[in-house]
Amino acid sequence: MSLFTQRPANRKGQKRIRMAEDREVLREIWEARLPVSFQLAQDEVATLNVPEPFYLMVPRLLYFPLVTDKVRKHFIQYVSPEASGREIWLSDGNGQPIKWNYPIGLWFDLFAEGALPWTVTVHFDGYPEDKIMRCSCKDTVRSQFMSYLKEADALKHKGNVMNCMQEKDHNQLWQGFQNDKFDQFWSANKKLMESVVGEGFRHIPIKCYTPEKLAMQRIVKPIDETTGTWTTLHDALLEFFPTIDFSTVRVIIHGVEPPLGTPVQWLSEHMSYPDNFLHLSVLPSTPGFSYFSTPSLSSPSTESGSRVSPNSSS
Amino acid sequence: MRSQQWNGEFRNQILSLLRDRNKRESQGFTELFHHHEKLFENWAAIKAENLRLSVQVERGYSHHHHSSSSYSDEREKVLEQKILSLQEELTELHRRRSENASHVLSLTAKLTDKEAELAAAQTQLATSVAKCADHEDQISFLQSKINELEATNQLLRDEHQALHLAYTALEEKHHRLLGENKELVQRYMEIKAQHADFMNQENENFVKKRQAKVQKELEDAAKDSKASVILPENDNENAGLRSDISLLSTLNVGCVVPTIASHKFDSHENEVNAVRWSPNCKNFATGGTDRKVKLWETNGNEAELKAILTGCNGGILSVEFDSTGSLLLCTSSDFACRVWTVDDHRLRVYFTEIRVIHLLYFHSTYAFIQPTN
Repeated sequence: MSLFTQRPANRKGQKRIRMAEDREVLREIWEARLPVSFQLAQDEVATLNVPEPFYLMVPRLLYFPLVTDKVRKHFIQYVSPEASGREIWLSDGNGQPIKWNYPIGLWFDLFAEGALPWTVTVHFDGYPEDKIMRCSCKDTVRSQFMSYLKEADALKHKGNVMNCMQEKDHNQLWQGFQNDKFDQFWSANKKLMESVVGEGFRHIPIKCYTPEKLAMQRIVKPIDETTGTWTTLHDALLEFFPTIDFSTVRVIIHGVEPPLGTPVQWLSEHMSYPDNFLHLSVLPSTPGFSYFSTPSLSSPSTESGSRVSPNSSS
Repeated sequence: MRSQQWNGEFRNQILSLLRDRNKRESQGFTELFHHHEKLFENWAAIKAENLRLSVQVERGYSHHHHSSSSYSDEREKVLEQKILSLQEELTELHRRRSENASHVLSLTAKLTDKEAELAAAQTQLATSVAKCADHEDQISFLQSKINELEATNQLLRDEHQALHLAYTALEEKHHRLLGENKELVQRYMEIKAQHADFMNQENENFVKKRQAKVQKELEDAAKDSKASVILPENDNENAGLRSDISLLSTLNVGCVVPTIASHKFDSHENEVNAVRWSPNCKNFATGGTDRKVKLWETNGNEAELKAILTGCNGGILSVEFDSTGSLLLCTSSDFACRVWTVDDHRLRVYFTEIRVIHLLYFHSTYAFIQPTN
């Protein structure tokens, strides 16, 4: 491990550009599917017979509005006519409304507790506008997605790559993502993953989630300035939770727990979601757990949550 | 070793974790879900089929039921149905009638509109026709004017042509006359030359005769002197005498330029253009720019004015007596020649339109005149 985390002697004037090319890992991540059982909310059933649940394999990386067309069609005949024209929304097993602007896999990792198939309740009535954003069409999803991409690029390359891209590249990114086309997406996305050899990105776009607090952001550099070594996942988590006891938590990305010694640069290149963010779910391994061992430290840390995405309204 | 050749242990570890996850989360479920979907579709299809069949069965049953009912019942039903259909037809016809009525109304409105349009068009047409007639009148008027002008033009052209022809004829005549004139002048010159020759010869003869007469007289005289006077044989005296004789002879024969005026008098108010002796050597005539011809008589010492001949309208250019001295001819710058008789001083003949410069010769029956150009 120390071999990889050792910072190399970077010779001036020899800045080679490299990019993510471990397609094996990328493909495994891309092709992940989750079995989801959609059920109509009990109190919204307007017919005599209760509808069958709708089973669907959904890609982990997508957002719900991109896959729920069929679901809506399936359930629309069972609800009252006045509700049938409305926009649907989803809630998970805990009755908590699912935010559509979070990748499906991330929400699953955070709240589903591993139960398969994941049961999701479909609602037509009572849209919780105070908790989740309206999503009237797919263009809303698109603009959300593109703004995440821009934010991530601003962190990685001061936004240069995204600004230099043409409209058709942006379109390629979105179409590849939306239609589940790995090659189409990555031929454009690889430019966003470029970095100078031995230096990495300027900052790592990383967000950390706990069931209590969503979308925390800190400034994480790929290289530790003091020691001159690659920042590991361990170091990065210490930025978020300075007093964390790693024996009591599980750190999950894409449903797996990567070794804590993995460099964040590698993680960012290979295990980012298509929006180019590294979404870490930090869950307690034991009940009654607290992320911050001493309350005196926890309060300044949460308050100084330097940049919290405007969407994380919780 | 390059730090970013990521092939460390963590990578393999993560990869295997990912594979485990995929196996756990999707392997079993994919097939199951697929199967479920298929079953669900089958179920839906069967349900629809079932519904259709039950409806069919129901219909078949009711049909059976109907066929078994009594004939009259059926007839009644048929009639009722007929009535219903007829009623429907009636209402339909009513509806159509009302539609037609509204249609008729709209058509009448349209008709009146069209009629108004037609009237407007007719008035327009009438005005147009009137205008057209006006224009036609104008056209005919202009046409007649054009014809008139053309006729005038033709007339003028003809006139022009006639005049041209006359002009050319006249020009030709003029040329011919000029030629004739030239010829006449030439002939005249010849005659004049002949005349001059003749005169010269006459003069010569006269001079010779005179000389011969003088010589004879001299010889006679010499004979006389020889007889009476003995001429000294002195050379000097003889020489002087001879020279005197020769001088005498030369005086009689040759010309002397007069140097002393024997008499001087004022004849005319302006210049004197012409002077001519009468053949009787007693009278002479003068002409001047004061348009007068004067006849004078001289006795050797003084001149006496005998008559003033008037009638000329321009300055006198030349005067001439005829050979008998009874007629006097003069030319003047009013393009005229006049002839007077000397005895009674009356104007006898008068020619105009002759540009005369000089009288060349005058005879009682003919005169030669040198014309200007």
